[in-house]
Amino acid sequence: MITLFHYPQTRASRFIFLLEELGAPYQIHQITKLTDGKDPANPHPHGKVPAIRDEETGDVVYESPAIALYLTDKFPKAGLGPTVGEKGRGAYLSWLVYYGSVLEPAFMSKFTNQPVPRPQAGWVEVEEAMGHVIGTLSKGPYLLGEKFSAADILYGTTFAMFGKSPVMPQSEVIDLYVKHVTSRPALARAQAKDGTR
Amino acid sequence: MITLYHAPASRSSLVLWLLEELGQPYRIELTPIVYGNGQGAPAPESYRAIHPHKKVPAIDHDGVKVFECAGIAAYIADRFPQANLAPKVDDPNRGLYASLLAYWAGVLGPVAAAHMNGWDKDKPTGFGAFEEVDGYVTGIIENAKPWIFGEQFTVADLLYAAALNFYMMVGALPKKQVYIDYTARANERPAAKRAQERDNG
Repeated sequence: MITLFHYPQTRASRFIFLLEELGAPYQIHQITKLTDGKDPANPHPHGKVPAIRDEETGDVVYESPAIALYLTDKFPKAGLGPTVGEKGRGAYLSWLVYYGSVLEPAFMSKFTNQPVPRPQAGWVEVEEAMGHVIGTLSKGPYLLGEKFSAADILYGTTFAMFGKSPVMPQSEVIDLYVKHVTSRPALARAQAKDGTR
Repeated sequence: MITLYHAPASRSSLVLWLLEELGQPYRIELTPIVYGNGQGAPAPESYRAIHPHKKVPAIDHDGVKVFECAGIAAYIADRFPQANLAPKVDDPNRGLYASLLAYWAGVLGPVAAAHMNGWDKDKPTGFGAFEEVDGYVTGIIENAKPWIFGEQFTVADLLYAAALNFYMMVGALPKKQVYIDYTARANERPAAKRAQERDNG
C-alpha cells in the first residue's frame, strides 16, 4: 500500500494519475495546510507535497522524479518505466532528472526574470530546454519514443498547466503531446479524486 | 565499455570518481566546455547528439546514452549491482536514496546557485529557502556514520561529497565542521584520489 501525501491541484495531483496508471494500491492523505506551518503527519522534509510512504517497508520518498522512479520500479508490470537492463533505461533516468534539475529551474528563472548564469548553473534557458523537449517529441510521440512512461506524466501535466502562458514557448508538437497525455482515462479517474482546497 | 564525456575540473569530475569506484573499464572523451569563469571553448555542434546543451558529463555505455549527474549515478549504480553503490529496489533505504538523488539535482543545485548569486538576499527564491535546505542537508550528513546509509558507500555519498567540496570552495555553503569531516572522509577514498590524479592529468 502506498500513501500519497497530497494537496489538491498541486504537484502532488499527477501522482494520483501515476498511481492510477500503475494500478497500484494506494490511499490519499490530504495534508491540512500547504503554507503557514507544516502538517506533522507529512514526512516531507520541507512540509511540501508530494511525498509518498510505502506502507510495506515504511520507506518515504519525496521529489517528483524520485517518486516516479521508485513507483515504476516497484510496480514494473505496468510498463511505465524501463527497468534496469531494459532498453530505454538511460533515456528514462536522464529525462526524470532533467525535469527536476533543468526544466523546473529554467521556468523558475523565467518566472522571476532571472537570467540563467550559464555555464555556472546546472540548467539552461527555457527556450533551449524546450528545444530539446520539442526535438525529442517531434520524433515521439512520447519522450521515450513509442512508449508512454511516467516521465510523460511529469512533462505532459506541466505543459498542460502552463498552457498558453507567456513563459511557455508555443508549439504544435507540444499541443499534440498534451492532448495525448491528458486524454488518458487514468487522468480522468485521478481528477475525480484530486479533491478541493 | 563506458565512455565518459569529460572536461577537467568540472561537473564531470564526479563521474570520473564514480567510474573509479565502479572498477569497470572506461575511456575518457575529453570534451571542450565553457567554464564558470568564462574560460574554455564550446563543444562542436555535433556534440549535441550526446548532450542536448553541450555540457558535461554524459556517458555512453554500449550505446546507451545518459546525461545529468544524478541520472548517470542512478544508471550506473543499478546497472552494476555487484559494485554495491546503491540500495537495491526492494531495500528499505531505496526511498531515501532516490529522494536524495533527485533532491541533489532539483533542489540543492538550484538553491546553492541562487545563494551564490545573491538572488536570495532579500527573500527566498522559488527554488527553496537556503537555510531550510542547508539545515536538511546538515541533518543528513550529521547522521552519516560514516556514510549516509551506514557502512555502505553509495553514489548518494559521492554526489553530496562532491557538491559539498565545490560549494564550500566557492562560498555557496558554509564551511561547517560536519561538512568538512564528511568530505575529508570521502576524499580519502582510494578511488577519489585516483580520480583526482587522473583529473589533474
